Amino acid sequence: MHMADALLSPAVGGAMSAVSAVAIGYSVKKISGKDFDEKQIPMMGVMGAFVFAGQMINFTIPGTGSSGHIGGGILLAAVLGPFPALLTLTAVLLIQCLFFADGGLLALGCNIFNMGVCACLIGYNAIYKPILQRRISKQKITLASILGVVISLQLGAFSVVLETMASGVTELPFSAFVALMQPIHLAIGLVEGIVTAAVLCFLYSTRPELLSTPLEQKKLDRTVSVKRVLIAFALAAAVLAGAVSLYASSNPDGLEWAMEKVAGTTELERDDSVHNAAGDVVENTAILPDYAFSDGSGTAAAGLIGSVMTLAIAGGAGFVIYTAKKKHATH
Amino acid sequence: MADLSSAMRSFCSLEQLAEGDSAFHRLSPGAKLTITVVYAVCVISFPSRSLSALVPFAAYPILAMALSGTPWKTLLQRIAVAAPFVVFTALSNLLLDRRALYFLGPIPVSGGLLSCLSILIKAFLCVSAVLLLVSTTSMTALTAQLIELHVPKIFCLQLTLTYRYISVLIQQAQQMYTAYQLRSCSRRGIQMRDMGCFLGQLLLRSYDQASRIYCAMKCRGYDGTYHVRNQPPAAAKDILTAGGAAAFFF
Repeated sequence: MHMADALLSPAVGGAMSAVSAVAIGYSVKKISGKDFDEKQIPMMGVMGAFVFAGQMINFTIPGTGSSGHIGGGILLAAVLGPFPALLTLTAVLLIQCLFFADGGLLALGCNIFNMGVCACLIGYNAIYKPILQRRISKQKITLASILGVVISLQLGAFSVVLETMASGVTELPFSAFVALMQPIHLAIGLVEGIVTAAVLCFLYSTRPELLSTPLEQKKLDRTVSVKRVLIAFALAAAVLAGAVSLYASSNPDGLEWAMEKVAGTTELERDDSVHNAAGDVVENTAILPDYAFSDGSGTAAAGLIGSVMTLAIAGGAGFVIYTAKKKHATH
Repeated sequence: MADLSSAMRSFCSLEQLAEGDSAFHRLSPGAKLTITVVYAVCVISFPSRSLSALVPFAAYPILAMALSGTPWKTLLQRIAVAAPFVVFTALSNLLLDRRALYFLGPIPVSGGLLSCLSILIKAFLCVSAVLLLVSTTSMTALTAQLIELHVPKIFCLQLTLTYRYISVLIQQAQQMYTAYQLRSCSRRGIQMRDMGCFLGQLLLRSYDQASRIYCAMKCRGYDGTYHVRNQPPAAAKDILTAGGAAAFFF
């Protein structure tokens, strides 16, 4: 489910990076607060490495012939607590982005939100924790982890759809995209939820204190954390809404169609200041907006020849440097 | 397990490449990070059907790879396995938008074809820029640079630890996998019903490992703070290179 740089516009990438930076900043503040436990740092480091290795272990899904792996957000949050879990997952995503080309530097903010914030902060605080708060049992752990994983993945998949649509790179209509992404991630979520539940039940029977400690810690500052989750939610919603409106303002076809159905006209009186400001942002963030390849075959052919020549020059220069270096090395 | 061992190999090969010595390696990590981010922003800011404008951007990875002596094959292999989601979106554009915009000789060119190619080229360029960054800069230098940029130290220390212990945990997972395979009577892969136990064991091992690491750190005077050597201030050549590259991309 990694978002990639190629599917993003700079505005959406920047907005999501800002949202994720706020979530990370808050988590750091929360962890390094008055009851900072220095033991937690190596714990987070090694748990990050565990999630990394865990994501690579594929298991056979019975009856389908396909295989799956865990995502690890809810699992980490259950063992470490939500804020350390978010930081840990962020480190994992950064390493995956740098070394395995999963996602990209600009898409990192989106990925941290889709996979980290949705699972560790929202899924954990809204579903997992309330179910297990009063009493822990294996049945409750199973219910909490399956529900938690399924809902976090649904949120994450929906964010992927919104981010891609807001960036305006896909021709897929919104409804078809949603109808494609949500059921796939429901199936993935169910399988991942069952495995997460199995891991947590195993931990509960071998080392129950691992699961109960993070839950107890949270009891102390319950009001604070709920408020924070709500703020994060509102912030993300605002930013996403803003990004979607940017997209809508630059691609008015669908809107005009809807307007004609509703109002009978495509022209509508409106206060243009916000719209203009949004347009300015789009114009300023698209660095070479008028350099496209879509206005007639003459320009297209010229463009094609020009770019092939540039590429040839760059390739030639690269080749010369390579051979020169090789000669230098053999001397 | 194929996944685990190939992950180990790619880590090792990138780490070895980063140890190399060339003009590009010697640039400060800050300059390389700036160049990579500016480059990626420029590439993705093109509208979805631009193609000819994107092609010249390939000059940066080509030249930088030649300068740093990074082997093409390693990077191309990485790019090939990256992001099936991108390919899926690109192909859906190709199938959904079939209106021919114009003809190039006898061949009709549809908007979908243009946007499909554009997405693939963008993905290729961004991925190769990031891989260039890590194949010429060590993780230690990158983390030090992040601290310089005021990224919280807690996060940087944890990032360093995660990076360092990935190989240890992958090795442990591999040992457990071999042991599992030897006892599973020629069935391939791990059964889903054993997964809870398998991952749970790995998690407990990691937990114990973390406790031992903490004790070892404590013995060496760890008090919750992370000390790094001060980075040398950015040299004129770094600022010039980063500025020049940024201006070129614009």
